[in-house]
Amino acid sequence: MAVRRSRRPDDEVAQVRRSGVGGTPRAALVPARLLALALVLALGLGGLAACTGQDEAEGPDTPTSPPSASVEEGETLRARPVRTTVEVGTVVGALPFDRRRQVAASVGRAADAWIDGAFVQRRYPRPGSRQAFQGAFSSFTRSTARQAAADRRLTTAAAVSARVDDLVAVRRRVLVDVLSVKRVPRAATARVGLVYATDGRVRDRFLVQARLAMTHDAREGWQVVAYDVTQARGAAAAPRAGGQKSGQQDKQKKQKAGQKTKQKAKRRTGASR
Amino acid sequence: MSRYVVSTVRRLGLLAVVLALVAVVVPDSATPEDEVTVVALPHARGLDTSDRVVWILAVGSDARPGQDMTRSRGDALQMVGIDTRTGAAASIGIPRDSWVPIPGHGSNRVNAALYYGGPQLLGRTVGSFLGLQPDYVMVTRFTFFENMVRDIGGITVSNPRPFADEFLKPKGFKAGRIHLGGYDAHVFSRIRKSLPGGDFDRSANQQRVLRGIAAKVRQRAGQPGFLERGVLSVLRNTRANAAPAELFRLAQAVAQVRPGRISTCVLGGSFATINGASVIRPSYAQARRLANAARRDATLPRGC
Repeated sequence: MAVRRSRRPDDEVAQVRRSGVGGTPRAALVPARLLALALVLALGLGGLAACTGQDEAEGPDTPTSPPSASVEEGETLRARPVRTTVEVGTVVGALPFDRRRQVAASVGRAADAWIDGAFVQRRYPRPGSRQAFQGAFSSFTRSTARQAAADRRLTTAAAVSARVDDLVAVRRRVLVDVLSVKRVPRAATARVGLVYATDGRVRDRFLVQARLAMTHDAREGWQVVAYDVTQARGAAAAPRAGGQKSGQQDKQKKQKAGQKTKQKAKRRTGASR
Repeated sequence: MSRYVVSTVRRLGLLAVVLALVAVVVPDSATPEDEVTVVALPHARGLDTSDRVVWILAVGSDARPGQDMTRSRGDALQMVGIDTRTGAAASIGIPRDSWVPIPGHGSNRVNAALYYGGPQLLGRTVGSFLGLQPDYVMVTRFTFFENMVRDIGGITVSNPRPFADEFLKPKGFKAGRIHLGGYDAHVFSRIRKSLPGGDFDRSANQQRVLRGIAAKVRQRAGQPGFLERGVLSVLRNTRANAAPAELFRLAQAVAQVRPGRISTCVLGGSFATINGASVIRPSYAQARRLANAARRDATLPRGC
């Protein structure tokens, strides 16, 4: 797993990951991610989770888009598996950096189990019944799993599962906030962003956003004790028109704008002479 | 969940949360797909609890600096229920001067139970009176309450009438929607003498403050680490603690409350003088009726 060390000290409340869409924080991670993605694709290990501690900006502006698999007309969805990027989010309470990454990885695995069971690692088409998605909530407590199964139209792909021939994750990302008490991680929130694409009678993109609250149990490990899940279809899950602007593109634009201004200034100076 | 978690809370997030009755979790403005607005989308929410409705007795202590707030008198008493399945929440306001039986201590003002036996006895007293036992009793004091409101950036309340207090708020509060900072929220909840309905109106004002906090918490609950920070704050400032994981679950319960489904009532009663003290004889019938109505789904009937 590729893990980056945070430059921040072991703060009482460490905001390791900045919220918002600023391009810089992600910047330095991209080459590593791309490399990792390439390796994963090469090895066919799409289901494994990667753990990435995302800290402050450390490098120049580079493309901000996380690795994603684009699905073009005529392409086979299954050919583009994407693995989960797990990042350390906000850590509340003291927790050594190494431990943070371990916790994030463990929490990420629990979130991954849900993503796989509820969406990705299923054969389609399949009915949207409770039974068809049995096992999707293996990382949930019994009570929470029961509720999640009842909410399966939002917590799984059940709403469209009977009308799709294939489903693949286009982007899967987990940010992990951790509550640490006396240097022991006691609870965590996995903020999940999943984009999946479907093929078949329903050929579309879907965006799943989830907040999975977890506590740690010595026997069961990290378990989801509360969830809040939404799903959006179509435009909301599609990339922005023209794609996301990368930091480099922004830079180039700024440079071009700067050059134009200089040229204009030169012309004016020349004219006044 | 275990019963009776007694907390002496300092600045606190969770109590804020608890008091706020709010919830939210606006689908995360901070989830990875930041660019997509999902507020209007349907949500699936769930929570692992043994009881469908969690009851919390929120107590505002009148302890002064240096005093033990778990052995003082409770000025604000709100029995708050949260339905973890539907996100509904109910708050039953109990006037401080309500004259009720206190187990082992005869009858007295309800808030004296805190002084006699701490949060446990207060919980039992209110529980017996309502016929509904709280799962948690959480106690806070003025200064911590102020800090909490300040930390969330103040609140907005709908004030039905102007009122003032020559010592606490000489310039008074205007009627209408007003913004309250930490101190103002505290005195808004505390002023009694200048209100026509005295203790009843004060309890209603406390519920207005709760709604205001709720709205603010709703705005902020999606922020990364918000609930974790609140839980840690409670843990750091409590003497007898619940396990962190349990408090975390409680925070999640609060976070799932839907502001539009909050209902509030203040228990009625009649003014009386007992042993020279001005007290309120509460309506037991109403207390039981409200508790029974909200017991299963944390929803109070309209018109109380």
